[in-house]
Amino acid sequence: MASLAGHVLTLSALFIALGGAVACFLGGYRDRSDLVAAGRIAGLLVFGLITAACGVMIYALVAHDFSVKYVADVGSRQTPLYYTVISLWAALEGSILFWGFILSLYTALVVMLYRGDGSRAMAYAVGVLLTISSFFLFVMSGPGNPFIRLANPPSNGPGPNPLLQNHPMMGLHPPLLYLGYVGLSVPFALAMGALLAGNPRRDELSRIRRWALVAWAFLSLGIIAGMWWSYDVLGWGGYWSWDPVENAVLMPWLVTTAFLHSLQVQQRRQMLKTWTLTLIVGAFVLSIFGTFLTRSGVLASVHSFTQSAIGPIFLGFLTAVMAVSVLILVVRSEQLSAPGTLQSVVSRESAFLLNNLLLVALTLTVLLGTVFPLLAEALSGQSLSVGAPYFDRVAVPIAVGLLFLMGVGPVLPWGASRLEETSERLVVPALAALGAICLLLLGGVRGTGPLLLFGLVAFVAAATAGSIRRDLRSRQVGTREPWYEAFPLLVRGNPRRYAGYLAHLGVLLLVVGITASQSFGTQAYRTLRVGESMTLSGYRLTLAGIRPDPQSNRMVLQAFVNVSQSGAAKGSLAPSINYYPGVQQPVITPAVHIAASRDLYLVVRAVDRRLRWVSLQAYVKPLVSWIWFGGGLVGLGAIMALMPVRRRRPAEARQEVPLFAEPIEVAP
Amino acid sequence: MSSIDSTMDRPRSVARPHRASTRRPALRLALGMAVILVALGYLAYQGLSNNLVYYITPSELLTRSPADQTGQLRLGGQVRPGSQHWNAQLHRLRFILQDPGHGITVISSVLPPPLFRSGIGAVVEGVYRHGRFYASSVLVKHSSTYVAPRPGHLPKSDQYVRR
Repeated sequence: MASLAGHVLTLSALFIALGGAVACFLGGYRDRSDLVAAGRIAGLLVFGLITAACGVMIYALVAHDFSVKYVADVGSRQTPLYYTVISLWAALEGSILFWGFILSLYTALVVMLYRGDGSRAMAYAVGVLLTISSFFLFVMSGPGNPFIRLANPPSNGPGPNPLLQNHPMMGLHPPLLYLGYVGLSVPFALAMGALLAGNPRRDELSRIRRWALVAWAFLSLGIIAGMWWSYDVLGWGGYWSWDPVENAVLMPWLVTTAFLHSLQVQQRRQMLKTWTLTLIVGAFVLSIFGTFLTRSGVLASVHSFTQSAIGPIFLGFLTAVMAVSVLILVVRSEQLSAPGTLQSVVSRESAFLLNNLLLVALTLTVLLGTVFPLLAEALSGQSLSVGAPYFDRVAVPIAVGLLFLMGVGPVLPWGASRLEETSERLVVPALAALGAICLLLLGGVRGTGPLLLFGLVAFVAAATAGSIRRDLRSRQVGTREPWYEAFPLLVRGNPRRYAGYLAHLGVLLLVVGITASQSFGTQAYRTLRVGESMTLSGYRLTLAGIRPDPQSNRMVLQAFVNVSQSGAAKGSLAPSINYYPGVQQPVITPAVHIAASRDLYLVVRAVDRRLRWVSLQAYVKPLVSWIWFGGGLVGLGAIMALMPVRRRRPAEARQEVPLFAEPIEVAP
Repeated sequence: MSSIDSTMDRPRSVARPHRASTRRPALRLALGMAVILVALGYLAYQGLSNNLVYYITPSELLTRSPADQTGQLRLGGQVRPGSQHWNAQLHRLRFILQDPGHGITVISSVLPPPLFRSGIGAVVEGVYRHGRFYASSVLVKHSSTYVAPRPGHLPKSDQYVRR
């Protein structure tokens, strides 16, 4: 029943989406507003139908209707309700359904928000969104059908992958990532629509920026949530392993970051229009490529991906998207060539250009490392894998360059350079960097890499603080407000600039957290009998006991470890090892004591079946929590950048004097 | 819209004589960028060639002549589901690494990474002696770690730990 209903819903959504896409393109081309209106209604209908299909799937999951193959694959009667509901995205077919749902949600939002926009570009944009929807609905109704019916339904299923039902974060991390990943379709569609209709106007570019920011915010938060999940669940004491699944998300994020920066040059200096639009197209293509990479089985082996039809279909779609977008960009490139030119090498726009270069280079590096094993296996039949040191080795120098630019960029003026003034402004930051390095050396911190990075962080922080101070000063000249009144007004008057600073601050915290935890962590591994202790970095860990805790879906063996530091008890941690029925390898749940300065991370690697001893691995990782906090700030920065900017008069916008130098609101 | 563009295009063509002088910063920047790109390309090339982990599969190893089976080898394959045996007193892990054709028993004295589990791809480094592979390092292949296993790949036995 459920499978029939679901299948009918997705099939009708497919036909309506296809019809809507044709109506939008044709209506836009022939200036037929009735056709466009029909296409928009199709967009809303598709949203309703896919939402209903998701509802059917969740119902089937919750009702344990094992006649639906997907439920039989990922559901089980023992799985708690929460994990049953979120197993909607636990495996391939369900995640494609969920993907389709999010895309239709975005489509409906675009239709509703811009219902007053009767332009050709908007008609085409909705058409593009419906075309992408059609592709996913096609996959859903054919090779990736989540609603396949089983003639002989089993009485119970295996439940979702234990790793996916081991942490509540699984309810948050995938939706965030999907919202970001799929969200890239919107700026892509808006860009394609505007390009198909002609030369994207300024307001159209602002719209693209806005949606790119939405996707970027979700991607940033999703990546951080994923790192948190990896840290809290996988039990290896780390949060990033350059796994292809991680790289697949990182690449579109990097390219979108480049887009957000290059768009500023476009809007400010009328340069780089083609390049900017290419970046947003590239981000979308990479998101489809990432889906292909993680969902086609190509990672397990190049030869396994042809076993299911999904791989070739995705590859075909990817090729088509790339071909069409490149074609459109090439056809329009003559019209797009922007009037602005670079006036000086030492200017903010060249800092942005270098930022773009480095971000794209980093993306290509990650791409190379991710696909090289696949290419090698496909072309020469050689089996190989690319080690994580490759990524570290290339990514770290690029990150250093990006950090440096983050400090220098906001200090540099737009347009012509005033080298003396700029170098004057960099004296204090350089001194701050030196001071920070000296302080850290005195504090016992060693290692060239970490010291260099910490120094750079101090440099960027000081340079940014200097910029804010100058903004504040020039505002106060006009208004004579005290700083605590001036600062909020300054922020409110320039939300985009300060949103950027906030995101940069988040990145600085991320860099500090990653550097410290990667460079100065310690670990120890011991097999402890009950009552025995081990020490690590000043912590004394005593195994107090082992307790079995049978739960509905698993058997949990908890080790209670008392933690003390220089004689004083610090509490108790209970890492566990979980056995799931039908899965031989147990899943470990680490226990982490999170603190601002350092985390204590305990993992049970093995346990005696008669509960006499455990093999305990302990890590001490400094400043890990800074990563989560920094990631949150990056997301907050993106949200702040979405706040509407007060309209400026064109004359003001073009002035060299920054806007904030003027008294915006004169105090009475 | 197109009319706006054409007016914006016009100053550019008028300003063409000036372009010779304004093109130079762009050229200089482009040169600088090219240098950076070459440096990064070299870095990537170096990084890639130093960090490629080549390995042979169990079938390849078994078809080799005994003389070619000696020395330090890298063996890659899939951990046969359910084949792991962990001896905690001796800190020794035994498992079977397989490819579609053959499987080889691997003895490891090093602790495998926590991601190591049934069915995952792994690369081990060590020596092959008397039909067994003695590993001095165990690498988990960066592969479908988080991807849900397909149902066919799940071991069938219903095994809880019982006290």
